[in-house]
Amino acid sequence: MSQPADFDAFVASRSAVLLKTAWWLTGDWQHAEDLLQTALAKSLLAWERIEPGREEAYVRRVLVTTQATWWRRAWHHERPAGDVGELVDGPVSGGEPQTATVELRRSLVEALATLTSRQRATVVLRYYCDLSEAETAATMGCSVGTVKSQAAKALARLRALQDTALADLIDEGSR
Amino acid sequence: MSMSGLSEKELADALRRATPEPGTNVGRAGQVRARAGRLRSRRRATAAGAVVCTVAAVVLAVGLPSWLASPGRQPRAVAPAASASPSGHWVACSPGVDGTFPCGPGAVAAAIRKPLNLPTLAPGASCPVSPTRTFPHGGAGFSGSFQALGPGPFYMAGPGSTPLQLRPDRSSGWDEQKVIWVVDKTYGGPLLLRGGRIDAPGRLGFAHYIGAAHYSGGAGDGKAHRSLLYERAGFGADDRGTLDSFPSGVYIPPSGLPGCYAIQVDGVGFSETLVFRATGSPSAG
Repeated sequence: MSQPADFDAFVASRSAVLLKTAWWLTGDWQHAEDLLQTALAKSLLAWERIEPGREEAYVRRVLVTTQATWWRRAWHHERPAGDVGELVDGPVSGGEPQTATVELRRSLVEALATLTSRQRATVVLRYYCDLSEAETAATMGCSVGTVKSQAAKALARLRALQDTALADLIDEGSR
Repeated sequence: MSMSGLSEKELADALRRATPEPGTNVGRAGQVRARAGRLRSRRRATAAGAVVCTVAAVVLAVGLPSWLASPGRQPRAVAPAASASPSGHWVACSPGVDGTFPCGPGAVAAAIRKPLNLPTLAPGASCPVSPTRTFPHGGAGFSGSFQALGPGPFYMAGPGSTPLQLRPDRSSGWDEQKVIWVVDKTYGGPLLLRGGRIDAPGRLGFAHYIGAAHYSGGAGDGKAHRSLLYERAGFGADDRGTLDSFPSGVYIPPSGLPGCYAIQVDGVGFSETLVFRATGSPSAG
């Protein structure tokens, strides 16, 4: 049985990784930190019931379910304004490679913002966290079939964006 | 490659490559414990509230008919249960005397809004452009040194911010430029942005982009908003830990270029005005 002392070690060692997952789920640091703290706090209340070795999976599941709850709240609803043009490198920006990474990050966040909460969670868990379909299903509390369909819909939607700027940025980094 | 050919592997690679590194303020078990304590209290309060409501419902169901039959008797009042506080209104939204948080974006905006007081320029006067500040160590999404306009704690950064060079946006009919609002991390509260032209009558709009909680108006195909409200500072890709940022954009009608413009930023305890010149982009032809 996990003890609260283990919790401190877990937070110290896994927060950075979980925060990155939260960042992709929310798209910004403030919400990500808020989401992670809430998920950790909820997990702490159940810490002694969590199977040893499954702590991270448990917290990740709470991250996803909490984000889904927040997403349903009206004040979290944001409508992307659409294409607001490309950030052109200018005298005030950083170096070229870093700027390209920042741009790729922004484009991905913007693209993910067009997905539903469930589709976004599927993309983050499957393609960022590299979980299997079964693990993703367990984390999201749904069937493997649902994960497959949500992933397919999310990919179709991202492809339908026809965001050539994002495609170029992805392409640039894969060369 | 086009997005129509986006593969799962390419998406996974892009996500991993673009993942920012969090700041140093992670792994705060003490803060988590404090939040867990509040969460436990809230759950107890909710459970207590549910019990109170259940008891009240039973009392009403059982007692109401008899009370109705005895007009001289009065029902006992039931105290309202405390409501859970919404997160995100740290500064501008305080709990009321009954413990509830009656705040939405409108209440936050009302709490920080100051009268719009943009400077006015005499005809022919030069534009009193705000000073720029150099951030040598990056942050706010910039990995290297960058400059931003404004006296602080709020700044505007972006390509060609002195002057701001806007490019035609076909869908809106307005000219636009993406900018990044940069905020000193020590602030952390809500922000209300409004603006306009100050050397002649003219409008300025903002792009509602990631992070804005509320916006008003929407000229230019619904893109150019008269005001933007951020419920709290702290969005964006800040890897350095001292700055927060919001990606956004500035819209100006083509007829208003070139011109001198100002943006008033209201926050808790401060109101700041950024003045800048705006021109059309030379590359836009």
